[in-house]
Amino acid sequence: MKKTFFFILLLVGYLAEAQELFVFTEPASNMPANSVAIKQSAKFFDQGATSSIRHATEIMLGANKNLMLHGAATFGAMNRTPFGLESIRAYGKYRFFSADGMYSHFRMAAFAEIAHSNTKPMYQEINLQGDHAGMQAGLVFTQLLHKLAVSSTVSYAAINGNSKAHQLVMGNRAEALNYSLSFGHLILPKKYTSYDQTNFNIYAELLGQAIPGTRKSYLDLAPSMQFIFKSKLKFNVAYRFNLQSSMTRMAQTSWMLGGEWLFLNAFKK
Amino acid sequence: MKKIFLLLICCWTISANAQVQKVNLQASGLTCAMCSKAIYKAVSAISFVDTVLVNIEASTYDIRFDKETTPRFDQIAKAVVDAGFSVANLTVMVNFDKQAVDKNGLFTLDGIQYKLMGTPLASLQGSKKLQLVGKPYMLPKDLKKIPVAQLGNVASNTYLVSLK
Repeated sequence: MKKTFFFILLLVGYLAEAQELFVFTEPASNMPANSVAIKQSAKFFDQGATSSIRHATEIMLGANKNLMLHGAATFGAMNRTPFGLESIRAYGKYRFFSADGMYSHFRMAAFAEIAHSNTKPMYQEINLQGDHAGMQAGLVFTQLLHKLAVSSTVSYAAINGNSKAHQLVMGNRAEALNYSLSFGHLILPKKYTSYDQTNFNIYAELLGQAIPGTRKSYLDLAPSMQFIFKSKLKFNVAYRFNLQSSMTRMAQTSWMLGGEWLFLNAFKK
Repeated sequence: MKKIFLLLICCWTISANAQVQKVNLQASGLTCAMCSKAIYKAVSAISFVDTVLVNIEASTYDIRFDKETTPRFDQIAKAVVDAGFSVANLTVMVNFDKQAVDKNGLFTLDGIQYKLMGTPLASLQGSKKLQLVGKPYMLPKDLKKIPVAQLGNVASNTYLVSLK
């Protein structure tokens, strides 16, 4: 834990140029109005002797300068079920505060999401990205300060644990507080000269969850690398591991591979 | 005869372009190429915009317009804001030909009304840079430096500008 803290301090100190295109969290900034992005990712969960793969497809839309909408679906063969559709999710984020300076900004946004899942809840960890049906709402704060970007998210999630299909394991709670702190750093190019240059970014994200009224919680660290080709195609590689956990989870470590294609001015006015 | 005709066409083209020549835009709130490209695409998609030359590092955009169109600076600023960012500076390069300015600093160029901030001038001549003043054309911290008295009483169809 002490090492991790030192690592983060070191990272903050060296963030000469930063990006906020985080791999695991959304920044308070939105996509440009009138643009569309398609994201495809695969998570590999390390479950000791075996591993499971979850695929996610997400379509994102910049509805206007302040509102962004996502629609997502996950597919997999988790928990020894046949491969198929696991969950669907709708997400909306509204940027309600923006203060821009030259090479800097501070932004705040509120988000809400609702998810439906076909999978049977098995773990104490709560997530709406495949495992549970429910809803989540929260706030995002993102600061870009002369090319240093730091973003934090705080949210409340409540899952449906009452219906027959989603019956929770006895003693498991249906609410969670989620929080995150993300940092990003542009490594390449050293100097921008063209939109065709390949960008290389590194990220470190702290992702935590606490179950209210219990001592159950976890804290993960997720370092990741990102390549951006021609300023429109992103490719992410991430590793997520546990720093502290006192709850049952699908996996303590996982890998994620993902690609995202951005279409600017997708709709003709 | 053919030469004279060509010369006449050239003169006509030059005189038609002898007013607003280009706009230099500086955007704020971004440091990434993907963000810069979003602004570039949004500005390029405006109907009256012909070419956009970008300096990604400086976040500046040199915008030239289609011939015989009247550029709308509010639409350029809206494109930047809709892309998710802000305008730090929007400067219009104009080649004036004995442009009369009234005692209130008002003048009309290509059917668009401008109000010159500061000491009134009787006329404008030659190549000048006009910086647009007010929201959404500048950073809030730069706008705060301008006395409120100088910002007041500008009609909604008039661009407040200062000579650079």
